[in-house]
Amino acid sequence: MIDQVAIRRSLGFDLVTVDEWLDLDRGEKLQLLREQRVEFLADGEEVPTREALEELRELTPAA
Amino acid sequence: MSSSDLWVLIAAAFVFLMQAGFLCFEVGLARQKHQTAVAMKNLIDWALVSTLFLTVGFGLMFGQSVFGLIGGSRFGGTVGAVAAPLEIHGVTFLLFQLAFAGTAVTIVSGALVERINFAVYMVLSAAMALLIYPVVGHWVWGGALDPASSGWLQSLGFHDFAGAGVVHLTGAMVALVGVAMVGPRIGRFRADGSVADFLPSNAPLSALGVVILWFGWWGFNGGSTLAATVEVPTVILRTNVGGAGGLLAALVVAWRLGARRNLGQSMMIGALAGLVAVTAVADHGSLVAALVVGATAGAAAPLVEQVLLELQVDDALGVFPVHGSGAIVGLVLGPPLTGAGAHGAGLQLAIQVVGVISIVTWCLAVAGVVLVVLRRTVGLRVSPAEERHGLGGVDDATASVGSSAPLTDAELADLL
Repeated sequence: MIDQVAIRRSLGFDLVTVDEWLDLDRGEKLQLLREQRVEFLADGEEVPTREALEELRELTPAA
Repeated sequence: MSSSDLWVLIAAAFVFLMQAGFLCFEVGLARQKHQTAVAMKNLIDWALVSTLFLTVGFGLMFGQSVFGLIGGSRFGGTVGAVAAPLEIHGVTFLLFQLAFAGTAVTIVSGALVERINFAVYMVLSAAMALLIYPVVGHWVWGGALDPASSGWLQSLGFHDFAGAGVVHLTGAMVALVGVAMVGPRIGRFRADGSVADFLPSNAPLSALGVVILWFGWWGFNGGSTLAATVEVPTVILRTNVGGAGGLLAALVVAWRLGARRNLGQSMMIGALAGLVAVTAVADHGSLVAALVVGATAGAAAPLVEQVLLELQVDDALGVFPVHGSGAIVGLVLGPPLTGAGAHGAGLQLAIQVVGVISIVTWCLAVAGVVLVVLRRTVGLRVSPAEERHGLGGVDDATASVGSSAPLTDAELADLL
């Protein structure tokens, strides 16, 4: 289960919670993913992006 | 050169050796894959302090006071207005204070090891040497060279003999802000809320670090008399007994807390907490009082460490239990127990509390602003891959994120 999300900034990274990731607006998330600046983590291990997004989609309330 | 200046010069060398103590202590407690980076961070902060505090920080700390808030002269590595016959005294004092500034700055690193971005650490160290530490130092010790330049806490009668507040509490609070902003090490807290044990890579090396720090503390407190007086051996004796009391009390508390405690690590942080606490009042009171002050701080250290873990605050090497809670115990409990301070017990206690709150507030505010800006621009951490596999020396700022194959725009739009 994904518990953290690492986001690359200019020189380093930020580690945010799943809730903080979900709170970002869709455009920002899309841009970060396009630029490959995001890594999803479960207990410290990397989760492939597709698998992570599928898991997170389950947590996102339907629009 | 007078015997007093010679003693302070020797004491400065004792305090500088504490850099080696911090390095050994931190490298030994860090996981093996991060050892080199931890050592390099300890080296770089000394170089930063040696330039920035010398040229700017010293003037902000000991220059002519502006409303008791900040110094405004003696920049550029000079002691300025000190008269010619006293010049050697001024230079010796500057060297002693430089070693103190180095101690305050390097305290921060221990809390943030194994995940902070190297560039961010350098900026934070620079902020400590340039502004955060000198301002606190001015409030408490600004009049050390010239009584007319006393800071506002000094004028109130705040008692901090050798820097429990100025050096240790300041370092600890900046570290605590850093820990809150940078976040825990990956894998430290599991999804179910339990804590993963990150075992020390070399506990004997850490123990050697504690011994070196303890040795350095003889000069840290003994030199803070700023003169070769008959009081020096007693100051050193109080210091020593404070550390011993801290170690023994921490051992008992850790043992009572249960089998999960790492007793060796608790002994080490207990000794250091005791030394920090007695630093506030090593110039006053009986040896028993010093023992009680040190033991109280030592007993508190494992408990504070436990509370931080329960709050999921990953203070990697126990910086706050040692330098934060240890300092608060010494500053608040020390004067009533030892009779230190110019006022009666009640008023002195109130002044000590005001001093602690002021130092804490200043450090939280400035370090908080610096780190918020860095978080939004630079990014505070190394990459998850570096954190998992270890930081070799300095971080690779260009490291990329994970190895997942990129998704197309259509796939992303579908998944988001």
